[in-house]
Amino acid sequence: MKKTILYSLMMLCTAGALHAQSAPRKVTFTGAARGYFMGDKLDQQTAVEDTTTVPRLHSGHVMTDLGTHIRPNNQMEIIGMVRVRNDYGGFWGSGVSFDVRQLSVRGVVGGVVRYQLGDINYRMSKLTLWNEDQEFYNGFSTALRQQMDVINYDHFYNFDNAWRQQGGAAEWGLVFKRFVQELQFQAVTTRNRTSDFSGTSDRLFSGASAQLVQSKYLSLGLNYVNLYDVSGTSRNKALFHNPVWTTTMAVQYDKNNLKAKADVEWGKSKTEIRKSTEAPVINGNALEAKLEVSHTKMGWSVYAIARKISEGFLSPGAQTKRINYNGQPEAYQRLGNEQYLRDYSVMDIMRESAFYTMQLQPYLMAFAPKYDNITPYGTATPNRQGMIIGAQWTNQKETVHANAEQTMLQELRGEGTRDARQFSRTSVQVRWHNDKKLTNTRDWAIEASMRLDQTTREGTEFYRGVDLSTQTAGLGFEYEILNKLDVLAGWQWIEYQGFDFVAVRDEYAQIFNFTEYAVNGRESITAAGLRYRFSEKSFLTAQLNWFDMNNGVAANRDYDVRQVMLLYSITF
Amino acid sequence: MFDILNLSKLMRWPYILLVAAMFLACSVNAQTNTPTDPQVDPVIERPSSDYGLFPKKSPSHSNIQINGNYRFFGNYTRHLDSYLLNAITADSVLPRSIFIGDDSQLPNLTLFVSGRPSPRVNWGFDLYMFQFLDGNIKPSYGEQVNDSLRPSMQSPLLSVRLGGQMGLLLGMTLYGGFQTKQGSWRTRVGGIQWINMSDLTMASFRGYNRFMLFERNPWDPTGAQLTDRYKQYFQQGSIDQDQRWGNRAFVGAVIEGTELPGRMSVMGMIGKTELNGGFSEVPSFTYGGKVKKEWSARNFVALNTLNSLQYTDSTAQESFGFHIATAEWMLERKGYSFQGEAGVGQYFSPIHDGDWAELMQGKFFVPGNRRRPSFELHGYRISPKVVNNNGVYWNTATREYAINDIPAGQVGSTVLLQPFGSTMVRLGQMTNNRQGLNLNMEYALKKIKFAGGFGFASELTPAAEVITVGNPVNQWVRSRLWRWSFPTGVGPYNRYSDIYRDVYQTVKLSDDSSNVTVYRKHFAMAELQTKFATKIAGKELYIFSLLQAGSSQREWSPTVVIGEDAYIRQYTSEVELYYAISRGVMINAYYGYERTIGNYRTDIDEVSRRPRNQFGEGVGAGLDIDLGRNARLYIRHRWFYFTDRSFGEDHFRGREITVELKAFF
Repeated sequence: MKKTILYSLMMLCTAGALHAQSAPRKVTFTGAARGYFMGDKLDQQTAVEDTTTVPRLHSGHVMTDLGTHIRPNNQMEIIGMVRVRNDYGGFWGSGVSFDVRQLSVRGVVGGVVRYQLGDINYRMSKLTLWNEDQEFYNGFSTALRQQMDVINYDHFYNFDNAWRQQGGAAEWGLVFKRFVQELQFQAVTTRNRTSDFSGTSDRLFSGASAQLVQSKYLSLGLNYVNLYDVSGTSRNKALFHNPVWTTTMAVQYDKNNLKAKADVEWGKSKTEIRKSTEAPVINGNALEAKLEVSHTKMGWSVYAIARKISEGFLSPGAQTKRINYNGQPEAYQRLGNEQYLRDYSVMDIMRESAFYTMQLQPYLMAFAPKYDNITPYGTATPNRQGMIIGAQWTNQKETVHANAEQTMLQELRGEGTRDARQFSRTSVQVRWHNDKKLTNTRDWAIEASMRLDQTTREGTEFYRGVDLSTQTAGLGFEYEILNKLDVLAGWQWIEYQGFDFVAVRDEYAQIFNFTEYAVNGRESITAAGLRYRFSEKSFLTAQLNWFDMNNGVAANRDYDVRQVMLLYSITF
Repeated sequence: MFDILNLSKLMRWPYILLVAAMFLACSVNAQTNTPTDPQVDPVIERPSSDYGLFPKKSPSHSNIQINGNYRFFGNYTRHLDSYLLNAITADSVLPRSIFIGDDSQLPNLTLFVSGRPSPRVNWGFDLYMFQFLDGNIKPSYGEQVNDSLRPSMQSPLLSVRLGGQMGLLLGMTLYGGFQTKQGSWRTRVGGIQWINMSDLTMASFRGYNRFMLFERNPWDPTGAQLTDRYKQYFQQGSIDQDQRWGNRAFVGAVIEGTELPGRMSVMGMIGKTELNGGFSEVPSFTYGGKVKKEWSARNFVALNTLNSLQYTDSTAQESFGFHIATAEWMLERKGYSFQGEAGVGQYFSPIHDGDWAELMQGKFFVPGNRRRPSFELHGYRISPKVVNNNGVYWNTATREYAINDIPAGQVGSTVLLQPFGSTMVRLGQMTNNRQGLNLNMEYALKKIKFAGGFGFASELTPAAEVITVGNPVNQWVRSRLWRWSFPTGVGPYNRYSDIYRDVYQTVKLSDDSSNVTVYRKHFAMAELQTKFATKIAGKELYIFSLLQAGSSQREWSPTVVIGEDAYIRQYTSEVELYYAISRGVMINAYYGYERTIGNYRTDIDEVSRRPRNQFGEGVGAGLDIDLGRNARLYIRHRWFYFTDRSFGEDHFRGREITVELKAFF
């Protein structure tokens, strides 16, 4: 660590010296800085006053991620980022931490092959390697999304849905004059975990893909990923292997203002633990086909998605969730005089870093049926088949965006019964904003979203029927009261009630039991505050948030948290 | 509908198509898809694709700035007599000691790293490195990891690995500014930030710029020319100071608005001062602000408030802290000015009643000219119930609430600051539980300048049966006797307490009644500073002297009491000389003498049966050497001597040499 700091300082000193000269810059910088302070006040609605839990909490930090880009030559770049963090409350150097945030090298070999080693962000297809957004991220308004963006930045959850991995990747391609426009190849290998030289083997994630771009009308692709243990790296003979193959095809057709596009991906997976007599071999397959027709001038588009993901389709790169629901919140982890463990809430999803993970998981992670029982693992959620239809509209000035979607899915195979669950989701999102550059007036925006989820399955005299519903609604409002000074407001409401069975899986992800899952609750967050935009990449915001949790199942578990939040974010 | 699809069969034809296409493609002339345009950087710009490495385009890069300073400070001390440091541990000074580094724990190298991503946004933090040259040569300096934190060999990452010789000193601050029609706004988030709101709310004591320059502070600048520091002190009456001068450390968020309509300005802050420091999530914070209305640069009124809140228990039920609210003004006409501040304050805790009480000060200034000196009359009154260790006044009367009783400086102590008792202070320095009046004057001729004054103060209520007093001569020599910690009740007779770059002694009084303090104490002090500048052989010569006298007594007196009526009386005389023998070298010399005398109502030595009778003396010589632009070498040698003729063990003498090399970049 010390060496890292010294190296970083050497880089900085070198940078300073180089900056003083007018020679081409070999060292440049990127990064971010953040000041983040929170003050919480807990209020519990209990029959007996809680005299054990501290109701007020303050926390915060200031940090800088200083990324140094070093160009030893024209074909190579070394990127080292140091995180310097100063926790709230420290004086004269106390509470300071230094750490490496990322370190990588990238370049071009022979003018042909691009490579990157170290920390890499990598993405493939939605069924092979895809970092799905966490629950509610897309429905949240701008005011509520600010704290979630802090978490996403810290965890490298970028808008491109790439996963942060550690390893190496290479890309190369060929362009042609006739018949085929381009041929692209990508290969990646990352390390998922290391050996403990005893019972845990090294685990790698490797992938390769090839895309043939025939023209703008046709593209074909082939993807392969595998999460696997490396033989001989531990005393454990059993080796996890999870290869996934998919093929993609994109067809597009334009005529006048009409545009039709079809995207298809289908593939199969195999999950096994080699040299294990107990572990089953799980095979699965998956298909998603999307047909979209859009009118470029009028701004509307309609689409239909057919999806069939078998119950045995396991693709760690596509199914790993951002949120680890087995985590525990750091704020108010225990409540009440009996100090019971507080269950997660949407407030925790919004701001608790401890709930988030970045490592690809070999098997399905825990999920929260009350928040998303239909697509908890995104597109690649196994044991789902059905249709999704939707429509989108954007006006010519691109100031209004609206989309509506209806999801109709069902299980391919019933869990614990031959009957399959039926899933229904209706969602609507609208964003209407004023473009200051066009109208020469103030910026403003209104956002609204709504989602209705329903899971049902008929019961019998032997087992109870399933009926679980989740309703969410959100509103957002931004208005520029002074130049670049905005008033922000946001409201999110989540209500869930009903009953379902949650599968209990063994170490091989095989269902061997079910637990009853009954919920009846309501959560809401209301936020209001101010934001000043210093630049496109820097803003200061101060907010008041009110989180309210009503638990209709367990008594004395209702609470609300008032939060004061100050965030100064700089990206450079 | 999907059940009828046989996916295995369905998947075959794209493979065939893809392989055929690749075969076809390779049969024709192909080029790599690396951009051939020399303007496109192939390392940074990647071909558009939905697959592979992300992001496809790198964000724009920025530049950063680095500046700072290097400071080598070495210290060799020779003690000719044994001197007891701590009676409990039987620790005494060593005859010789070599120390590289500064007692004030300031680093050798400080780097200020900053960036300005846009014209209105910037960020910065500092990095420091310590170097003690202690001969413990290792691949890296210092103790990297405490033994208890050392990892097992098999898991080297699961440990604390930050080097002990590096860190952030002043932390990290993000700045932002913006302009509106209603005014200019500036915000700062993080810290340490240096705040000066007003004397009675948040500021540190500046005094009347009467001090000696012979021994340098770690944060003192070097000046563009070797003589600048002394010339400036002579001509302007002050020297360039570090940003912390007169300010208080603060971590948190500050927003300031200036040039608001009606010549208004505002400032708001929330965060932590040093008194709130710590990482517990139980709230402990300070908040406050200022609203100011100006008519001109030197005519204004302002409302200030500062509030501190901490909780005494883990469930944040019981709190302690203070509230201060003041009105501040300055009225100036033709050089005559009246500046003042008045308000109310409250200290509350589970054991304090939390009554509101008064605090106020006023300064009336009469400008001078060639025939007449300038005058400033300063009066103040601060109730013992007002406690605010962020202001310029000390708390001498109210024992502050502490969560536990562990003494200050020991592990687990929650005591940050404790009252000094009835302390003898410099002219102009205020304390609570006191009211006083100071008269200062300054008079300048061409080559000689005079500045001085006298003052008196009285306690409002009998507060303590102790008086504390420092020893200005050899002040830093004393502070270097105890390194790295700030112990109390140490030294011979357990009467010295070490604080930041100073030591004070506690004088116990014997005229209380059954441990109840019955007498109010009164104080008087006087200062006279003389500055002289001339040239000898065409080279600059500066001579500065400072005389101080002070007393504490049972009866009120407008002048320093020089007889036995004073519990404690102290006289100090210091003079220093700086002569530029060339453009690159200055020689300097120093002499200081002090007397501290107690009466028979104070501590009596069991052997001599006499009260304090202390002599202190310091003689110094040194060199200032120019090492090039922004770099200086300062060498100081001092002979020191101190004895208490009544308390025989309180005696030390010796010599000390300090070497400071300082460079700014």
